[in-house]
Amino acid sequence: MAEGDYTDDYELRELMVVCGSRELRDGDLAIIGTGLPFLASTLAKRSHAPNLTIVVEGGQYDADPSHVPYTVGDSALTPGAGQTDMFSVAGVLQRGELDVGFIGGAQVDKYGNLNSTVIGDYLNPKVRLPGSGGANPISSRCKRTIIIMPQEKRRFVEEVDFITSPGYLTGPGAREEAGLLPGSGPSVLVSDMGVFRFDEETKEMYLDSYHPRAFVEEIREEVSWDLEVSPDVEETEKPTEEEIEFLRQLDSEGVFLRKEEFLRRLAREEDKFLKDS
Amino acid sequence: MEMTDEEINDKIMDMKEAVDKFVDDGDTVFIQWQSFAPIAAEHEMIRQGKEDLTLTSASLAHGGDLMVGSGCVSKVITGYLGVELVGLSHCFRRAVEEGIPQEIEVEEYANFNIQMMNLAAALGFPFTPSKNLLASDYLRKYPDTRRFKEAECPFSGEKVVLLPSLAPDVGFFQAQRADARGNVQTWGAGIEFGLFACDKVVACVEEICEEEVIRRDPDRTILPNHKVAAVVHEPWGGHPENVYGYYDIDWMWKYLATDAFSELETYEKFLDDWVYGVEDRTEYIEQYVKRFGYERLEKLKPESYYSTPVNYGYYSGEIF
Repeated sequence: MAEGDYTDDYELRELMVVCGSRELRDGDLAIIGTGLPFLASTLAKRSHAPNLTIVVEGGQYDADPSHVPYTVGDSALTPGAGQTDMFSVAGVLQRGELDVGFIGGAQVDKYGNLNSTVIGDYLNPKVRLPGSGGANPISSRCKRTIIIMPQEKRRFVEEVDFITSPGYLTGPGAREEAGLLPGSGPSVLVSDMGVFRFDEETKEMYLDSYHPRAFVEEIREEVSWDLEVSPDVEETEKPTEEEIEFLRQLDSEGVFLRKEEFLRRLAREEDKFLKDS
Repeated sequence: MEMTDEEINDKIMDMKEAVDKFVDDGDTVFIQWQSFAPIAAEHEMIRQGKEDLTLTSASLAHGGDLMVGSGCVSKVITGYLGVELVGLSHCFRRAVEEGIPQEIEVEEYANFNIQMMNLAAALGFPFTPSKNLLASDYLRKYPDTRRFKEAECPFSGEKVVLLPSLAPDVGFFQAQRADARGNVQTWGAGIEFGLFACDKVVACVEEICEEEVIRRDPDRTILPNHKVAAVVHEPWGGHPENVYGYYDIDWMWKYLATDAFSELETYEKFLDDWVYGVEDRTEYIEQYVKRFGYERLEKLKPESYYSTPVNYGYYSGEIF
């Protein structure tokens, strides 16, 4: 992509999607949830990875929905796709056939272990979160995983309150020792401040690039441990005009890219919903 | 289940009768999640004041949260409890964090594992091995809250997790169509093994059709009649979730409901209004139309999008 095509007219959520998209390779069999991962994989398929196959946990293969799916159970995912069932997706996961999956969480530690189960004590939690969904099998059985989550000190913690989705656990060799797919693990974490990768030797997360307008020291302050920074750290490659235009068209309702506004629109008939309100 | 000829050939009954007859307090109830979610059946279980239910599904979304909040659920066995785009499961949070309206037991796995546990039950096996859950805190911590064990494969020596089979007493789902004998057809989304794992299934359907229609399209019969205890004709029974070819997810309504669930007071108002305040699904839909207009409801229906009919062939047997 020529330098001149880069744009400064984008939102951080859009940049995160573009970064996620660049992590996908042509020919990947990828399990995708809704939201930013779906936008990222669709963008990849329309640009550098035309042979990417998108798999959705409801059993749809190679879906080509008429609009961006609002949920993994979206009606638009089925027409045009190969419709199997959730069970066949469980199968390709257990067999270790999926190349890549996207996951997120409320907390992450330096080995990429993720928590989407509870904040606080499991038996007496401060906040009860939705739980694994597909995240645990995806993180256990995909060859690589792409983590997307917002950058906040309280989310990037020394120790997660509950390991829902195993990253590199306690360091080198720990995944294999535990019986997870050999050679697998998180390959990248994309936040709204930078892109992080995992050291080949130590399996520890390090800062690989900082997003435009973010500073390395600022990022380190939003991490609870002493974050390693790549000696070659540089600014994240900006998105191109074409990429941003494509994403805005794909999510024309702003369901994910302008979510707050979208939810406000859903609430517009609120006064009719409950009697006496 | 002993049945007379008449009961075998005509399983059609209304929702009140089906729920009354086939759901006992203390039962483990399987509900299909999201696409084909039996929301009307869940409303009826709440109306009838069922108690001490164990609710199970790979994912428990809007309907699961609604039931947890009503107090009829004492335990969930699931992989996920959330409403995705529109938010967290507020009733589930209140139950776990504050014991409102009552404390519930949570036995959790990953969503795919529930499928495998159901498959084991559907096959009549006591357990299934799994290759995920290893190394997570699901395995390492709080062993009393779930029932699995790490083991080695006796043949290959691989590390696996053994999960118990999961056989619910009764299952509910909202399908497209069935005949009176309980041969049920769906299309558009896979049906979970949970239905085969159940002792009996109540099929709530958008349409009842002639047996001939069902027999002419054999691939689509996902549940043969011997598993089906009752057929309930319940149009719009999945609202606000989706039934392929009939209606899409009603995001506006689901968002407003989720928002109402976020406070105990408005959740209770919701129950009084949309569950206890109506007699059945027909009244519920009438209320919807009265509040939001018929056009809004119509908008949820998709345009037709047919494939070429498939040819199964008719075999006369005269091939010699």
